[in-house]
Amino acid sequence: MPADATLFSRRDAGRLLLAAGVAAALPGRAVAAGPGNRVVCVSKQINEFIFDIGAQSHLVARDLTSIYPPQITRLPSVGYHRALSAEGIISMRPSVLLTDGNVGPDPVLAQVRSVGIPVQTMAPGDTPETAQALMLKLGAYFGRQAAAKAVVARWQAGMKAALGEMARYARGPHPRVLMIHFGQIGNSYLGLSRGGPADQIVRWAGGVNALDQVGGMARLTPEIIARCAPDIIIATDVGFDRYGSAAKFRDLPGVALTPAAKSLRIHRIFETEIMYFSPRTPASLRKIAGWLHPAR
Amino acid sequence: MGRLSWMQIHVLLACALLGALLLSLSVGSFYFPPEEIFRFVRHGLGIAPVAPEEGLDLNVFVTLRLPRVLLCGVTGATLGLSGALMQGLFRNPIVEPGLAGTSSGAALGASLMFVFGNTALAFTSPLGTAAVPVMAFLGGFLATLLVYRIATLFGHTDVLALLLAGIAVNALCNAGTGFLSYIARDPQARNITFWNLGTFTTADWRGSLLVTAIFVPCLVFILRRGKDLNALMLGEDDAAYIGFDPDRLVFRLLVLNTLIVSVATAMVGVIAFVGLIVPHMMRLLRSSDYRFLLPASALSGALLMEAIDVVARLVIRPAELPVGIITALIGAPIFLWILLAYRRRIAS
Repeated sequence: MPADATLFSRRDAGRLLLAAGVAAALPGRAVAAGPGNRVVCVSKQINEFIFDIGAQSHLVARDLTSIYPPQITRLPSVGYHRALSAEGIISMRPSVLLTDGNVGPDPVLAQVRSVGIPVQTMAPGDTPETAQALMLKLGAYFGRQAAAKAVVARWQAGMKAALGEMARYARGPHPRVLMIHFGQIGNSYLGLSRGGPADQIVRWAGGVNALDQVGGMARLTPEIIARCAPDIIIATDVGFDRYGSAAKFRDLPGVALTPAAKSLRIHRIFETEIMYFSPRTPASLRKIAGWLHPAR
Repeated sequence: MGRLSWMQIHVLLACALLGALLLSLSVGSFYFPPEEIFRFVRHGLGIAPVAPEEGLDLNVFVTLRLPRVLLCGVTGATLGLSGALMQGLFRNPIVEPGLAGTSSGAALGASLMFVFGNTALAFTSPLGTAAVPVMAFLGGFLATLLVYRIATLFGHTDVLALLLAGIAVNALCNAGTGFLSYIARDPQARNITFWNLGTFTTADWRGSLLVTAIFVPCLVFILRRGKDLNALMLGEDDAAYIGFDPDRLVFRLLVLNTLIVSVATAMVGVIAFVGLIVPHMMRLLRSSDYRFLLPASALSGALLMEAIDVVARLVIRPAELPVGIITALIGAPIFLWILLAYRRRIAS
């Protein structure tokens, strides 16, 4: 028996070596490896999710727009996610570059790959379900399935409870909401159109998007703002903070002519609370519903 | 400087450029000390392979840093040379490579690609990431040809008409780019903005070698026309008396100029100011003689561009600034300083 056992294990070892050799010869066929412990992630949503599942110790760098949770800002930034430099990313010696697909300039991903650094693109989709699937995918990727499942379970329960509370606003009235976002690159104010996460959150909260354009963002002019006649204006942080208060925000041309300005129903929200779905969505939904229906 | 001969100034500039090239090869998000670069060279020559743990550094040096430094130098030389050439051809000191429509045409071509790349221009998808440079080149080249066509319509190259047509075509192309960035949805609009600021981050061997292969023969041809350009300074009619055909010379030089500027702009985006200030710096430094000015402008254009790219890579490491921002930030004060020094010298 001992002799047999030795023989068997030798044969086994031989098979293992052969398999390892084949795997090494066919790197493309290898099973998707884990992220390693030096992850550079250039997506604000994925970065937030990585913190949610407690995998942040893997991160070594972020992009400029990843500022939530606040402790992520201690990590170095490799620049704006649409104006990246391959060398800057590679200098962090990443085990993987994680993106949501929204990166530029075009050649940067190929450049990063060309020096042998894997690039992993995970699209978040634009529904709560696809975002939750992304959370689970990240859990599997970082080996934190249990944490991801727990986060998603809490998130789903939170959504269910919050949506339950919203039922009473279904009948109306449906206040008109204009969501104003300051685009730093174009230095212009943009309106969040119908179809995205922000629009969905407002609809759940019993409001109606004052902009009727579908998809993306619309450039706002004073006349468009006035014509939208919103009852409530929700401004994202950077644009709101340029004015500093709801009263001063009325100085933005066109705003003074709206019902929202007359009743001073102008509110500030963090961009990351409404631009994508996250475990914070139920809380954001309640906050916005509170602004839309203050009396109820 | 006044006591140095032209040749001595050229040699000094070449030495400074060599230093800038070495510095540019060395610093950035990755720092390659000179001894490491020396090891890479020995590795490349097959003398002594580098240690496996240096594999990533070697990879970055060879696939990212080297082509970038090459592209940056050639682009700077292109802009400097082109500025000197065009100021000569147009006999106008405010002319720069962008004036004949090249930069704005290229920007329009690139913007079309950014906005319609997935829809109306989807047939360009086999080009992959080369689609933007190809469209930019076409835009730049076509816009400049339009300017020349207008200027040569009645058989004679009219320099003033060329200048004015350039201004009009620029305005037209800028309007097109403006319209596109206005109708563009995020993130296309941001691509247009960043492209208009210029960057060398996208450099690869294919692009850098293409730009170099086109630049070098054009450079040789243009440098040999220094004497003719001096004659042209007398005015086109007087130049004709000296015994050459100014129309043909102007046309040939302009076509070559368009080619090198379009190709470089297509690769790196719009980089303003270098082509304007570099030739003037050289004029103020020594002489307006084109036998001096053309090589000096090419050398110092490359020198300035390398220095600017080093700054772009270092200030917000590991991120980078677009070079177009720094060309103005650094170039303008240097230019003003030289201008003031020159005026002080004249006054005293």
